[in-house]
Amino acid sequence: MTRKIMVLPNGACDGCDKCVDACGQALGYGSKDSESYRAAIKIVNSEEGYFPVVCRNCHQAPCVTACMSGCIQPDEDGHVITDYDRCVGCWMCVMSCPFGAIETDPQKHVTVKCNSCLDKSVAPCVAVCEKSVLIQINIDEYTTRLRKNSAIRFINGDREVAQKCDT
Amino acid sequence: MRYVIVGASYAAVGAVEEIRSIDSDGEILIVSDEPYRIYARPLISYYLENRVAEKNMYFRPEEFYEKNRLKFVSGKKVVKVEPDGQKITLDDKSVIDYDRLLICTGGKPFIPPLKGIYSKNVFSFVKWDDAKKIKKLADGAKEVLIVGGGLIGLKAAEGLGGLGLKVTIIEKEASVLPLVLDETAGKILREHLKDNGVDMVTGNVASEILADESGCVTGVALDNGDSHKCGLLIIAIGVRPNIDLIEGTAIEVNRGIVVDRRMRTNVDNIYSAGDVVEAWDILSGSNSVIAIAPLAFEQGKVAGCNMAGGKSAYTGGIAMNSTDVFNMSLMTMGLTKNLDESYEIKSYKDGEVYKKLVFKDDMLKGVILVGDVDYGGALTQLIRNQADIKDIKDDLANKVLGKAGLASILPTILSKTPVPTFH
Repeated sequence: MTRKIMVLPNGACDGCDKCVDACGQALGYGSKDSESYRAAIKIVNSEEGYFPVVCRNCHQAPCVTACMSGCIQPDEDGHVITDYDRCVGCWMCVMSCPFGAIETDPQKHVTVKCNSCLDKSVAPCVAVCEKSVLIQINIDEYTTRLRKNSAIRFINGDREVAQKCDT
Repeated sequence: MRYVIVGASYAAVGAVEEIRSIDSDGEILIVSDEPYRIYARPLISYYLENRVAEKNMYFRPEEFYEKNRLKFVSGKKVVKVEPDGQKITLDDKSVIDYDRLLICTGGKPFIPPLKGIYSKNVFSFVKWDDAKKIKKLADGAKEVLIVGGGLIGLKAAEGLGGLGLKVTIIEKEASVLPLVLDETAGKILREHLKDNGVDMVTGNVASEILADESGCVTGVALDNGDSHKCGLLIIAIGVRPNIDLIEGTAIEVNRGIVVDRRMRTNVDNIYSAGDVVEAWDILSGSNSVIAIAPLAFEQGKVAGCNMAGGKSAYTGGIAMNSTDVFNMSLMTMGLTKNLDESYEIKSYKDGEVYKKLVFKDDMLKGVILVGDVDYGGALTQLIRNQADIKDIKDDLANKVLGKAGLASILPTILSKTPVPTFH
């Protein structure tokens, strides 16, 4: 099963924000300088480094459980999809998402959450990610990479090596 | 195996989805006293305001019923539950046997015993039919009074205000959402309502509903002697667990139906979930009624799993709510009001943006977010897991309430709480 957008926790994100631009553009939000600008992916600059915040397509997702209108549902491949025609902007999902991956758009009365760009062969955010932090990958391969990553980190205690493994 | 579910809302859907993931053969029958298939009840205020079309009111698509092979009995009320014979009786006197019964009948509005309360054009605001009736009248009525400034009253005010009616909320406390909002948040919201044409009359309670000779409501008299005019009146002073159907049974009821962590009542093969139950409350460390949709759905899932022979335990809930009123976003989680000095409170206010964090024993106990609610879910997780945040407490408060914002500490918060997996 292939997931469209996955985040590799390899510490390689340099905060270039190209994914954010690509996403906002794909969603039809205009200028990045405008207050009404939104994107379904955000890069958070934290003490631990740059951190991509995007829908993780949780199994038994808290947003699906919390959604008041029933507009968030998983598809057969496990992508958690919001039907924006039915979103009323109650922010229940925002209140429930542990990852903070759902934003509010109060002007349009809808949330902004990654819907995995299923209509495109490669999601725009993945296409522009030069550090391969965002990837399109089979779930089994993804977890294999995570395990390998963690093993190498454990052995070497070295972030550089872990990064090489992923990229 | 025949599963009978009484009530058709969030808990019922959660139960059905879980039962079907375990038992594909059993018969599932839902009894609803409303004439509609399962709809999203809190959307009635949006429907009233024409923000949600009729077709988008339904919580699950039409295929849901066929896919899950549901039998759906609508417009029938369950009048009797007989645990000994494992059967229920409907208001048309028909009898249905069950192997497992789920009672998820939700809440029913509290109607105060005031003179004139049964006058024409006086409504509750909890069902789709309420919204439909009100919508029909909304053209003719110019002034609307809403008694009660809780979430239902507030959303009714927004809906009717959006239709261009003159709305006034009568609330005995100083502002709306008095159970969860502190003075500062209440003031911000009250001002915001005023800016959007909704007035409030506070500090007094209704003592009589006034009506004309034809029995139509004309206003409300207050206990201080004042009276206010209206052509339409909405009573929204609270909802109580809807437990009429189990009267005379041995099912234990306190404020709501008492259930264990597996959503079982004290009577064999009878489960309960949703706004009708008194289930595990993480912050009080005891059972309580927390009537909100997300918890109803979660409880329904737990009940469904256990009814079908699986094993699942409810992790417990916290009082939480989120809404948007005239474009002002609002979230409250956990304990936010009437806190003694053992709680440590930190807050931030700038114009219409207000944030408050409540700590105790190195844990986050409550949050109010007004005007900026993004990333709120991360805080909800800290409360629901009662995560030990001793080492990050000050940092958390400084960032959430400061310029850096919640996002800047998100990875640290995530390291403190379990997160869902993916397939």
